[in-house]
Amino acid sequence: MLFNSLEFALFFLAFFTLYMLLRRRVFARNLLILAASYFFYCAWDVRFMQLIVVSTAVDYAAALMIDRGRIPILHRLGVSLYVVAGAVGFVGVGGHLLGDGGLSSSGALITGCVGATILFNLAYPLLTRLSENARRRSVLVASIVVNLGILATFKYFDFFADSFSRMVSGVFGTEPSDWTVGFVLPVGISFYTFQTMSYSIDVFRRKTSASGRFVDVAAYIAFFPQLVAGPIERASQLLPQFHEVRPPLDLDRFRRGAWLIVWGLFKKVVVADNMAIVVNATFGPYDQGGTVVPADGLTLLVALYAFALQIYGDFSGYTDIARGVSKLLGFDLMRNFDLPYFATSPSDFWRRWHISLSSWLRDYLYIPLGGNKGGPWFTYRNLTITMLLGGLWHGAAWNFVIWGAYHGVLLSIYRALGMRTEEGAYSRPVILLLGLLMFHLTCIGWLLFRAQNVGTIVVFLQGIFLNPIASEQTWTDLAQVVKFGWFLVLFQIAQAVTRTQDPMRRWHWFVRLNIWVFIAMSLFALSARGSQEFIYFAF
Amino acid sequence: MKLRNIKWWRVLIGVLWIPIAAELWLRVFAPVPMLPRFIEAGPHGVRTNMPGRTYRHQTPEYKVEIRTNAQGLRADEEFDRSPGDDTIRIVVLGDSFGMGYGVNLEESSLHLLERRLAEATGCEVEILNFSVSGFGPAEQLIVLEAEAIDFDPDLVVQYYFSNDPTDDLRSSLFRLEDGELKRGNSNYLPAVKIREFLFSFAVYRWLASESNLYNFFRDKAGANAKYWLAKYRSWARPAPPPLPVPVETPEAEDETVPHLLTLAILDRMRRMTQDAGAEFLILSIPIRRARDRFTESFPERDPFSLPVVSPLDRFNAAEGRMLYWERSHGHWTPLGCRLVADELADAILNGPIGRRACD
Repeated sequence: MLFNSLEFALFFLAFFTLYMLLRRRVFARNLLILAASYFFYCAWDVRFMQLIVVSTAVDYAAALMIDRGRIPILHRLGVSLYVVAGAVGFVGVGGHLLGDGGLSSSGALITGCVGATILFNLAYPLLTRLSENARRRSVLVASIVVNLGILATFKYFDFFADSFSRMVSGVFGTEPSDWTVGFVLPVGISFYTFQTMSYSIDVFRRKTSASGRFVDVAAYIAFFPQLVAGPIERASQLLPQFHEVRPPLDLDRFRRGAWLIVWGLFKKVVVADNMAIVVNATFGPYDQGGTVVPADGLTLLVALYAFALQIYGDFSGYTDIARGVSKLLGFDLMRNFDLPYFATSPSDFWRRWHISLSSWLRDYLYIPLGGNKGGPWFTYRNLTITMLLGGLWHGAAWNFVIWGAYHGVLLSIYRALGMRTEEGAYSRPVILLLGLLMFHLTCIGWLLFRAQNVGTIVVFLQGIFLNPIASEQTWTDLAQVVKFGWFLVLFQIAQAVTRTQDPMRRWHWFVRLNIWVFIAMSLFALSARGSQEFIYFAF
Repeated sequence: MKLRNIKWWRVLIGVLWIPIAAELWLRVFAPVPMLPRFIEAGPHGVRTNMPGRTYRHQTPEYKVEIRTNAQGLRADEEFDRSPGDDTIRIVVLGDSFGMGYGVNLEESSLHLLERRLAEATGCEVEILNFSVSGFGPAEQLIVLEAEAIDFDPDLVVQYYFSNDPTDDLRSSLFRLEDGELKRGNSNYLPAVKIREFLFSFAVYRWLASESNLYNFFRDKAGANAKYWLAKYRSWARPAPPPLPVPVETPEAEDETVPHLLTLAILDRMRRMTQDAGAEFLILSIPIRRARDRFTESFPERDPFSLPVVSPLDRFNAAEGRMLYWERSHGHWTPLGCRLVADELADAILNGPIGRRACD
């Protein structure tokens, strides 16, 4: 159920009507959000719903055990029943949909869930007898192992099995064995896993306290606007919003929410989907294994510009829609993008791009690794490890690992060169030059990200640097990029100049009206035919 | 923010300004093809062109004038029932391609054909164009039967396009029963009454001819209505009942089946024409796959062995020159019309008409 589909519009309309009726009753409202979120996820793939159920149960229980050292018997029973009922319901239905093979694996999963529930209830008295420190640590480790275990199994097992098999065959000169299982990647698994993990870790770090309201926690973890592609919300920021009646939908909130939705749709269906046409046409032959370096290398550069706009429009568009939908419901999600292509250095870029992930990696990986304490080489090592794993978070493929490592190296080089990032450090022309340089370095990063094989990377770099020549195709593609990208760029310049997310608030009402007309007509008339899935759903 | 704080004068200005701004936006960023169809209910239960009209078709690629005579035909003169002695009279039945959408009358395939035939035979040539945009062969057969055949033609040309079978199924004017062509509904006038009503207002006629905004939303609404109607039909009737197969050949059971109704209609057309002492010819309009690639629209398997002529080879030999408008509902360009006229002229001159000579 894509945000830019009629199905979602109908779903949201029905949900919103009920929501407005239950808005003031916190428990009923959260129950409705939970049911709607599960329905939303099941519309993608009912088979993997149980993974969210398990993650929710584990982190709800883990947070309580870490924070309070005990879980009331009724809560324990409730959570146990929730896991078992979920297994029978979601796994059973999913398995039934898959036929005989699915049914047998469903049986194993249901047995596993029931077994794990029994094991937890048996282990519970032992956990309560541990010292506070030991209990807190052991429960946190268990929570992380379960969450990362699920993520590793479904997202990375096949990748590492295949890579290991190839390595062994390379070393011993044998035929590579097929050790892969053929797991299907559950939609949004990386997002909600990181979100649930941050809850347990923050409780462990005493940054937030555990919630005893199961429905609130479950709704926080599965909140449908941000379930499948973020932002990765911290419990301390979002969970408290589930505990209270949210502000009513006044005209101002409606205007801001509606603008975010419309602006996000514009970024997605007008900018990103039209850029995809240029990108796919240029990358297509190389995705199929083509190795010919074209004479018009600038066409490849234009395709990289188009991809930079595509991935930004796609991902930030999704975030804007998620934020807008949440705003209509009275919830405030964090800002996930802050004009990333205006960055003047890699560290600046990561403060602006996918902020919820980069801050997660900083808080839960880079700083625990030692951060910048321990000398420059430790800092470079920590930066590279963090970015490498950040790259791997995006997908189980070597190009993402290389992309992450590339950004780690960039961060290290800029740090080694002592490039300053604070405001006022450089004059405007220098900032402009640094911004242009960073944008092109980012584009090279996008090449590593988008390329489906090493050959494509080599061809693009050779084409751009050795044959920097334009052809008729270059100008045609550039015209497309300008046609669908100019307004986004112009609006972002306005955002940068006015230093606000919503520069329109300062503009004359007639200008605002015309911008609304422009966006609405663009959505009607310039939307690319055949909606494309959001890129980040694959992560 | 409360309702009483809203500045209502702004709302009023906004409501008035929004359509103007939207119209300007479309004109600058995405001009819309404006092809108003001046159509009304005809006397035989099917649509006909409004007689005596002059209107414009405007698109980002062209601007042409459409004129209809008092008989509702795209022509500048009126036609008597009986042709003169040295006159070759041709009746044409078709849809918007036959009607000559996309070009002025002087550049249309039929006008060029008329000139070529006149030059080759020395006779006066009259082409009576009974085409109506949106017509399928079922409606054309009704017009031929009730009116066109009375004009005593020497030749009847039918313009066949790939959407003809769908049009015939949708109109339900004819059906096949045990291989026999039977009359179905007595009339087919989709949205004609409302169109007639709307076109009676000068403001609406102006909007249809001049407003990008109106045409944009009308096209969107039409496309969406067709989409949802098709979706509803496929939901309400998942497996449409197979059409009876009149010819007992095993091959006819596959891809020819959906075309059988239309082929039977065309066969009836041919027989009626021949009974009236005239010739019959079908022009197969090529389907544009790319600017330099075309395929045949007339079905490969034709159990009736209908006489078909196709400009496909000429189109494929055009080396990628633009034969169809690409942003304006895909009708022929003047060059496309010329190739069609040449193909038709060659085919006609090779037949009995070509052997006729006038002083």
